[in-house]
Amino acid sequence: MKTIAFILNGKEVSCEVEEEELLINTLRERFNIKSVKEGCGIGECGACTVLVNDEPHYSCLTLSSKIDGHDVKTVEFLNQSGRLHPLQESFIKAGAVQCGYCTPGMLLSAYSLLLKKREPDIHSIREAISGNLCRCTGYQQIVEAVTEAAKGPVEAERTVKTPGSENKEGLYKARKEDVFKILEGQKQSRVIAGGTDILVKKRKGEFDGHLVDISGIEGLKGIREVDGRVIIGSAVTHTQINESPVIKAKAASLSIACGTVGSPQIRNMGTIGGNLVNASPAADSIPPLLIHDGVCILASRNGLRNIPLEDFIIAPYKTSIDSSEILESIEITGLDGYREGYRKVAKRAALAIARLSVAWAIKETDTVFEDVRISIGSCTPMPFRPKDVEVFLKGKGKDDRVIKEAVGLIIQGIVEKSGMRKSYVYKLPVLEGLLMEILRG
Amino acid sequence: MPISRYIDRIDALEKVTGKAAYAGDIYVEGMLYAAILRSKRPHALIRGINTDKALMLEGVKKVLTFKDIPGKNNFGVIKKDQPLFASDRVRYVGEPILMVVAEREAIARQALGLIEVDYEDIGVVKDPFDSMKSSVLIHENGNLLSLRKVIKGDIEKGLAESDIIIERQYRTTWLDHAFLETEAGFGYLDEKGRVVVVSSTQNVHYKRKEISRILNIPEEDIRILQATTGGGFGGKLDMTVECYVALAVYHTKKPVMLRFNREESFLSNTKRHPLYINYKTGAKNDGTILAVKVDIIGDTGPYISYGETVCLRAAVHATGPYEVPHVHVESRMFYTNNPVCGAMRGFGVPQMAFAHESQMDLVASACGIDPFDIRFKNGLRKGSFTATSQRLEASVGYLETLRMIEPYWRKRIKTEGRGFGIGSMFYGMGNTGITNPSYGHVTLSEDGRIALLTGVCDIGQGSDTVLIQILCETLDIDEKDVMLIRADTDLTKDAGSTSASRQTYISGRAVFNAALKMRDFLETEGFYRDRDIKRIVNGYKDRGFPVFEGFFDPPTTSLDPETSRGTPYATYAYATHMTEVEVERITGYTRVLRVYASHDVGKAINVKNIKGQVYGGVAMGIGLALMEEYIPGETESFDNYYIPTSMDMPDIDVFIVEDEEPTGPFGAKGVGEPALIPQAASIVNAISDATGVRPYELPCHIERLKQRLQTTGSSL
Repeated sequence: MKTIAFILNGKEVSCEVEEEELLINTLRERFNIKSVKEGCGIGECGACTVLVNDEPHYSCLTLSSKIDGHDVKTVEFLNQSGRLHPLQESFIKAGAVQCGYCTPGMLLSAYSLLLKKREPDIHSIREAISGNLCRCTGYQQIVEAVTEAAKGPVEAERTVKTPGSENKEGLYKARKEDVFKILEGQKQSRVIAGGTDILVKKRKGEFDGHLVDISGIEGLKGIREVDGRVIIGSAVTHTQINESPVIKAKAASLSIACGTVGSPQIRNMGTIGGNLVNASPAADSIPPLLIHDGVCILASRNGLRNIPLEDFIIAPYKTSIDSSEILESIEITGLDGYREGYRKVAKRAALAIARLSVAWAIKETDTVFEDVRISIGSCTPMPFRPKDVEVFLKGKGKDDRVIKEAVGLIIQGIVEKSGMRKSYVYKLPVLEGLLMEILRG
Repeated sequence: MPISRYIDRIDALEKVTGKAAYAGDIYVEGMLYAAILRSKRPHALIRGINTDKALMLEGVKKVLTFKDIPGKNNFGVIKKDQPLFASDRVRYVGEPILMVVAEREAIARQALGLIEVDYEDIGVVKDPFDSMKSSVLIHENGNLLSLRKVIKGDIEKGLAESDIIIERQYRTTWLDHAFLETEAGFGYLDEKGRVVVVSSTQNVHYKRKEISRILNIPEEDIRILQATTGGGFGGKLDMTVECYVALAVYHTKKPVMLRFNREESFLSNTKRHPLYINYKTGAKNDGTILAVKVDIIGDTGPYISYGETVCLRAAVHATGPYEVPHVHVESRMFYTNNPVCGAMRGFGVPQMAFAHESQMDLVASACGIDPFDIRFKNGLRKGSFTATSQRLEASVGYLETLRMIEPYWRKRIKTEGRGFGIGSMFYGMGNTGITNPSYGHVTLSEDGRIALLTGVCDIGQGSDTVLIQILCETLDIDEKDVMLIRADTDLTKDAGSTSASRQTYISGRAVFNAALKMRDFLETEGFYRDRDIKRIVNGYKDRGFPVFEGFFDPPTTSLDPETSRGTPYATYAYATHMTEVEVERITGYTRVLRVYASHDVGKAINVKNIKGQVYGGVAMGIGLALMEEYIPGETESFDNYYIPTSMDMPDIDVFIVEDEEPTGPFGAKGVGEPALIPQAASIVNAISDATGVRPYELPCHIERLKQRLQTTGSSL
C-alpha cells in the first residue's frame, strides 16, 4: 500500500492505494465518485475519462500511484460552486444527453478543450471528443453544445498544482538507480510509463508480473536539439511530440504520426518510449523515427548504450532491450527542407490501429529526387525502410517511369522478405497507390 | 408544428452532474458479487463439473448450478427455450453454466478460473446452409426455427409481365448493440423478504414474470425496478442479469451485484441476425415495380430470443416503402451454434433496407430513371396496399420525406470520388400482428402535484420527457407540477417493452387517454379557475386520490399463417436519408460527408429528442455500413469492434414531416428505429454512385471495398 496525496476537484486529499490500483477504482471506491464509469477497461471508449492537470486521461489505464502530487478533476468539479457550468447547461439545452453514460467523460474532454481553445471550430471539437464514444447521440448535439458554451466564459476554477512539486519517495517518483535495482532483482517485472499498452496486456492476462513506474524519472522527459540531432526523452508523450515546435520544424512526419495515435486521452498518457518498446508492427511513431535515422539510447546500471532503431526492433512486439535496461531516449536527425508526411490507413478516423502506414521525407527539386526517405509500417513484421530503393531514387529524375520502377522494387522487396501474406491482397495494392501518390507529390 | 409544450429532458440534470444512478454504481455494506461461468465450447455435452477448488477459495459463498433453481430452468421472450444454466449440454460459446457468488467481484472471477468443466464436443452447426442439411440437430424439432411467408398477388405473373428483372444476393453479419453501459443488476431482499432487483433494462414486468417462474414464487413477492439505463438498442430486453441476481439473492439472502465487463457483454449479449438475402425485382420499363420475390435466410444461433420476430418483420418489410402488386417473400431462421441473435434496433429491417434500396437503384439504372423519381413513382401513399394487403388509411408521409430532400438531390454536384445515395424505409410501430398494449395512470400526489405512473423504461431515448410533455399538453400544466413514477413493478402497470419504436405511440397514447380523464376531473373540481392543485389534493386526502387509467393497444390483426395477409401494425413511420460520400480509391476508405435525413414522425412531441435519435441512428447506420462486424471467436472488445467516433461523423440535417396518425397521441408515431434503418442503405447507394462499384456485403469496410474496386473496376 502507498499513500498518495493529490488535488481532487479542487481539494487536497490523500489516501492509501494498492501498488497497482487503477485510478478508476480509487475514485469510484475510495472516494465514492460514481460519475467515473467503466465502459471497456482498455482505454477504447472514454467513459472513464478524468482530467489530470486539466488534460483528459483514461482513468482505467492510469495507475493511481501516478497522480501523487497532481491535479485530478471529475465532472463534479464543473458544478462545484453550486451552479451549473455553462457546458453542463448547454448540454442540457442542446439535447446532448440521452442515456447519459458517456456524458461525464464527454463534458470533461470538452471542458479541457475550452480551456485551451476559446473558439474551437467543429473539427477541433470533434477531435477533442474523438476519444469519447457515444452510441446514442451521434455526437452532433454534443458538438453544438460545446460550440454554444464556447461563446461564454468557461473557467470553473483553475486549480492546477504543478506536477513534481511534491518530493515524495516511492516507486512513482523513481530514481534510475532504484529502478535498475528492481529490474535486476525481479526478472518478471516490466517497466511502465504511460501504461496504455501494458495495462491492457495485464487485463487480457498476457502479462502477470510486477510493474515498475519510470515516468517520474526526470531525465526521461524533454525534447532538445543538439548539433542537428534531436533528442526525445522516452517518457515524452505523443501529445507533447505532436505539439512540439522543434519536432514540427525538424521531423514533421513524427509530429503528424504522434497526432494520429489513438485518441487525445491516449496521446496524453502514452509515451514514445512505450510505443517503441511495445514494438507493435503498427506503431505510429516508428516509421517516422526510422526515416530520421532514429537511435535508441538504453540505460542500465552499467551506463548507456546506443542502438539504431532498425536493429533495436527484432520481431513483432519484441526488442533487444534487456530486462535490466530502460529506454532513456531516442535520437533522430532533424531534417530541413524536406517534404514530410505520414499517412495512416485505418478502418475509422480515430481510436484506430493502422492497417498500413507510410512515413516519408523527400528532398527534391522540381525535376530531381535528391534524398528520398520512406518507411512502411503495419505491413511487414517490423516497420522498415527500403533503403535500397532510397539509393535507387537518389539523383534520379522525377518522372512516372522512375517512380513506378521504384514502387515496384519496394513491393517486390516486401514479398521477397515476407512471402505473400493473406493481408497483402489488400495492403500491397494500397501501398502501391499511396507510394505513387507520395512520390509524385 | 410540434406540440407547444417543449421541455428539456428531465433526466439531463442528473446526468450532466454525474448523479444519475446506474445499477453498477450501487454499493451496500456486506453486499456480494456474482460471476457467471460460461461455456468455452460451441456445441458439447457436459460430462462433469468440478467446483471443489472454487468452493475452497476464501470469500466464495455459493456456487449455484441448474440444480439450485427452485422453479423452471428456462426463459425466453417468446418461447421458454433458453436454460438459465446449461444442465447437460451447451450450444454456444458463452452459454451460462453456473454462477459463483463471493464477497468481492475479483474473488468471484478468480473462482471461475478454478472450475473444471469436462466437455465432450459434438458436431458444430456452423451456418444456416450447414444447418439446413446437417444431421446434427440443435434442438429435437429440427434446425429450422421459423418460416414466414408474405404472399400477395401472383408472383409468376408479375415477373412474366416485367420488362426488367434484377436479381442479387445481399449479405450482412453479426453486430453488437455496444451500449456504453454494460449489463448490470443489483438484487436484495426487502423488509418483507421480497426479492427486489434493480437493473439496466428495457422492460420490468416481463422480468418479474420470468423471475417468478424461475424462483417459483408469486409475482407479488418480486419487485423489479429500472435503474438509469445506459442504452439498450434491443440488447436489454432479454434476461441478461436479472434472473441470476434473483437466484443469488434467493440463496444467499444477501444483496448481490452482477455486472458484466465489456468482454463478457460482447460474449454473452444477443446479436443482430446475419441475413442472407436473395432479392429479385421485376419492373416495367417506365420504372413501375411489378414484382418482388425475396428469399431470406437468417442465422439465429441456438436459442429463439427474438428470432421469430425478426424472421417475420424482415419478411413483412421486405418490399420497402413501395406499393408492389405481386409479392412472394420467404423468410427462414435456422439454428446454429453461433452467437444467440435477438432484438437489435430495427429487427432485421436495416438489413432488408440495404437490399431493397440497392434493388431500387439497380432497377432505376436499368430503366434509365433517376433514383429519386423511381421512389416517388412507387412510393406508398394514402390508399396504397402493403405487401400484407393492408390498406394504408392515414399518416403515410413517405412521399413528403422524399420531397424534403429533393432540393438537395436535384442540385447535387458529382465530382471525382464523390457520390450521392438515397435510402428510404418504412417501419411498423409496435409488435407485429399481436396485441401489445400499454397502460398509463394519472393521479394526484401528496405534495400537491399531478402524478404520472407509467411502466415505460426510458433507456436514453427520452420517453420520460415525452410522456410528461403529453400529460402537460393535455392538462395545460407545467412539468414542475408533475411527479413521475416509472418502471417499478410495484407502482406501475405493464407498459410493454421499450422496443419496436412503440413507446411514444402506444404508451404515449395510454398516458394521453389517462390524462383526458384527469382533465375532466380537474375541470369538475374547478382547477382551471384557480389552478390550485393543493386545494384539490387536500380535498381528497381522506377519501383517497382518484386514479385514472389510460389504456391503448394498437388495432392490428393477426396475420394469415400462409400469406401473412392482415394488419400487422396500426401505423408506420416513413423516412428518407440522402447521403454524400467520398471514396478514396487507393485505400477503399469511405468518408461520409453529409446526410439529409427526413422522417415522418406523425407529430413531433420533442424536436430535440427526435433529432437526437436521428443523429444517433445515422451513426449506427455508418457503423452497419462501414465498420461494424462481430466475428465470433475473434471480437473481444472495443479494440476490435469499431463503432463510429465523433471524427467519423458527417454534418447532418434533419427534416421532420408531420403526417398525423389519428390513433397516436397528438398524432405522434415513433422514430427510434426508423432513425437507423435507411442510413446504411443510403451509404451503399452513395458508394455505388461514387465508384461504379456496388457493395453487396456489409460492412463495406476498407478492405472489402478495395477488393471490389480492384476486381470489378466499374460495374453494377
